Amino acid sequence: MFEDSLQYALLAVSWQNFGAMLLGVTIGLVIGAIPGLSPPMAIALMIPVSFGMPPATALIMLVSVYAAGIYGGSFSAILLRTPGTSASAASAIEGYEMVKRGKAIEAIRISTFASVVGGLISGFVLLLMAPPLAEISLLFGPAEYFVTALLGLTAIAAVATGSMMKGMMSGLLGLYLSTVGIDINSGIPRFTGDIVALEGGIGILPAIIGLFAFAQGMELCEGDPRANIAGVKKLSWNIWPKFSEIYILRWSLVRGWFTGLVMGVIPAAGGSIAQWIAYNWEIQSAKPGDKFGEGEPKGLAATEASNNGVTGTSLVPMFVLGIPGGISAAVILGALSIHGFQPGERLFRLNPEVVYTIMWGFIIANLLMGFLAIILARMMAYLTLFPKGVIGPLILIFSVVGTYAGTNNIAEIWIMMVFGVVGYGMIKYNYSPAGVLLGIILGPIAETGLRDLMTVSNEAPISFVFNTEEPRWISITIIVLIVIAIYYAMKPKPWEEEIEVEGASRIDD
Amino acid sequence: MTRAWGEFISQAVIISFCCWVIWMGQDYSFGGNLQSNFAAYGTLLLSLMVVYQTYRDRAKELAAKIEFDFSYFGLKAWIMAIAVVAYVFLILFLGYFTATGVYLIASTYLTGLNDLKLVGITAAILIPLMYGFFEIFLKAGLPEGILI
Repeated sequence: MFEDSLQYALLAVSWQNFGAMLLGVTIGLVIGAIPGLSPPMAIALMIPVSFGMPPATALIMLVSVYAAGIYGGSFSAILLRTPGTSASAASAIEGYEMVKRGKAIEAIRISTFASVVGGLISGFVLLLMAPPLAEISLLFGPAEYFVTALLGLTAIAAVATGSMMKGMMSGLLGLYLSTVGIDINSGIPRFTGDIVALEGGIGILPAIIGLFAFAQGMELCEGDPRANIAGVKKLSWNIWPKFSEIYILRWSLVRGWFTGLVMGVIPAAGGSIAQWIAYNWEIQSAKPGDKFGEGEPKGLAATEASNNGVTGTSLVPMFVLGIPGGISAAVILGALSIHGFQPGERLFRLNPEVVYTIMWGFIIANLLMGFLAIILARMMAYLTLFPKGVIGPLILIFSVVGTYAGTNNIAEIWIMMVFGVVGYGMIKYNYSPAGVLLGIILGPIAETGLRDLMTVSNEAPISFVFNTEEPRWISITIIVLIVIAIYYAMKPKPWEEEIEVEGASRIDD
Repeated sequence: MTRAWGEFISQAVIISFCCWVIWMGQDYSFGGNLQSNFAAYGTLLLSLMVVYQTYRDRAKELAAKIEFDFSYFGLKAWIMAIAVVAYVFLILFLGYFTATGVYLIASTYLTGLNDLKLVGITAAILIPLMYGFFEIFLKAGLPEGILI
């Protein structure tokens, strides 16, 4: 399987794909480094740009934005104690303490090595794990598709900010919104309110841009328009890794990478959780002389290794089952649908040139990210000085042009704006915009599954799944996972109580 | 108004919306209402649970008053959203790039950033870049009004 995929490694570095990768990494690094701007927002804004590109090139660009966005967030977290993304909030603790002790370069160096290698390992795990796991999707019938969609929604709700119940309500709202438009079975328009623009259904693109970019643009327009994150003026930028440093931190790095890889595969867990688990594990493994909370490099190495270790493996459940491993992966799933692909075994069988090229592109993008970081590091630090009063309106402008460029339809701009305003309200009242998006993306799969399930089960879905003679084991397993996800979501989350770090992005990784 | 009452009101709106979805769904045949009903009934159940939780906690953390800020500062994000509506109409009238320049200057003033130099430099860099990227590179065909 791995040997088969090697032929696509060369495709991933064609001039076209490499150019897209370069653009994606640059934008990811820059946007990730700006506090308040998140990787999902960057991916959302890049989707319209990707329309003119072949699917593999487009998706390589988007996964590059994702990988680099998470790493970029570490710059402002370490240098300014203002995490660019929530996935780097834990890095702010030890990283900033190191900066205060005059070890800024060491901190950035550790972060770069841990992130680049973490991303590379995660990319190879994606390449090795996803194809065999995709075979599982062949065993899926209508019941399995329906409950899998519910699992995706529950998992997102489980890690949603605030109330789990509100997270699930957001997902159900998304499921409802996915039914708006003409019903393909009956030809009857549903919930359109006689608005012609809604008859084709709600597009994923305006929903993504509205919920993630426009809403965040509105939020940035609040407060003091001159506010920025001052501080960094003069730094030397020798961030090539040092062997002695890596040797001392080797076990911290391994623990961080391992945590990231595992947490990535768990649907919706993501880097925000992985970093805290890795940090906690590191504290538990502390030796006499370790000074956690006072600039301990082991803590920084573990958190940075974990949040990029997540990036590749979070794409595994997305490619295999259509369940994203995090919010950025959910946005990439939307882009996959926009480009006409459905996750699962068929994707690997019918479009291997696309899926393997994307995976190789992701691996190479991680390498490129390390090199570009050396060049862009200083510029990224200065970007954090840009006032919110300019960044906010710019994001609103890009939301409008992005939606129009992607759809060529003014009506879609209005739909995007409605999503933006709803998304802004949701952030304010602790509902999950990611849940709505996932509901819209998974809605068509869930609806087909539910309708077919009602037909094959003679309108008795529960006795069909739990049939004593021929039980649907996969469905039952997924239902058990849903129950576990709900139980886990109800429990208090220790990483949320760890430390309040100012400026962490509201929208997850 | 306390936070608990705010929550009760928002859940009442959600419950009413769910009832509307179920009522509308009655007209959809061939299982066209299955998913919308599933979503509506699920939301109803969760909403009632939130109401119960709110009732239970009303005397503790939800007893705090909601502070409404109707000043310009408090409503700024909403004003910016309304400004985008004007911006879209301006695009249709003036053309995309001209409207973007006008909007960028106006919106930064609306946020309270009265720094013409910074905004001017941003617009001078941004608009040609956007033109090159969207019109020349992507051939997106952005709307043209009486100008460009």
